[in-house]
Amino acid sequence: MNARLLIRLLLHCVLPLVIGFAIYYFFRPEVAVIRWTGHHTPLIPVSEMNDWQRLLVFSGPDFCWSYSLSAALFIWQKAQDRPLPYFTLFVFLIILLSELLQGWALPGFTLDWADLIAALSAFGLSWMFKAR
Amino acid sequence: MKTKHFLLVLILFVYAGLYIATSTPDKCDNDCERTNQTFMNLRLNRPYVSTLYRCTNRQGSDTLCVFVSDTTGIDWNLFADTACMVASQNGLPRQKIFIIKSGATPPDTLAKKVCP
Repeated sequence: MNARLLIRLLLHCVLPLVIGFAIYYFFRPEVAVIRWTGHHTPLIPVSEMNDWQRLLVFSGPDFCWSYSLSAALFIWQKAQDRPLPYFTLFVFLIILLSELLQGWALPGFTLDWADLIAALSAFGLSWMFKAR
Repeated sequence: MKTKHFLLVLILFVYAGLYIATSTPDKCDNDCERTNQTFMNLRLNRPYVSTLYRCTNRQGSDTLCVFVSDTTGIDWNLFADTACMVASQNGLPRQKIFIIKSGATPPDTLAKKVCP
C-alpha cells in the first residue's frame, strides 16, 4: 500500500468514523456500540440541547458513516483496472437505501429527513472528492 | 471469487456491521416516554442525576438504572425512594431501581430498591 493511498484511507474513511464514534460516545451513549463499552453518561443530555446541537448529534454520525462508506467504495473503484459502469449509482443507492430502510424495515432505527439529507450530502461530497 | 470482489464484499460487511452497531434499543414508545419523563422530573433540582434508562433492552423490563455523579452527603437509599415515587407518578409503578455511580468501571451500585 503506498503512502498516498494510506493517507486517503485515513482521511476519508477512518477519520469520519472516528468523529462519528466520538459523537455517539460523548452525546448518545444509548446506542448499542457505546453501551458495549460500558459508558453511560452523555456530556449534555439530549433534553438540554438546542436545535443545532441536536442536528449535529443525531445527523452528524449518519453524515460521517455515509461519507466514509462512499469514500471507501470510490477508493475501491479507483483501484480497479477499468471503470465500472453505474458504480456511482450503486453507491448512491446503498446510501439512499441505508437511510430509507431505517423507516420501514429495521427495528431500533428511525428515519429522519435530516438524516437522509445528511447522508446524501455526504455522498455528494465524497463524489466530488472522488472526481479529483 | 476474485480478490477485488472479495474486498468489495468485505467493505460492505464492515460498514453494515457499524450500521447495526449504532442501533438504539427501542423506538421511543409509551414506556420510553414515561422513562424520559421520569428522568426529567428526577433531574429537577438534582444536578447530580446524569441519566436514566432501562437497565436492559428486554421488552417489558421493570428495571430503571439511574446514573448519578457521586456527591458526598446524599442519602442514596432515600434518593432511591424518591426515584420510586417519581417513577410511579409517571406511570411506572413497581420498578426495580438501581442508583449507579457514573463513570465507574466496573459500575458501582450506590443503592437498590424494589418499589412497592
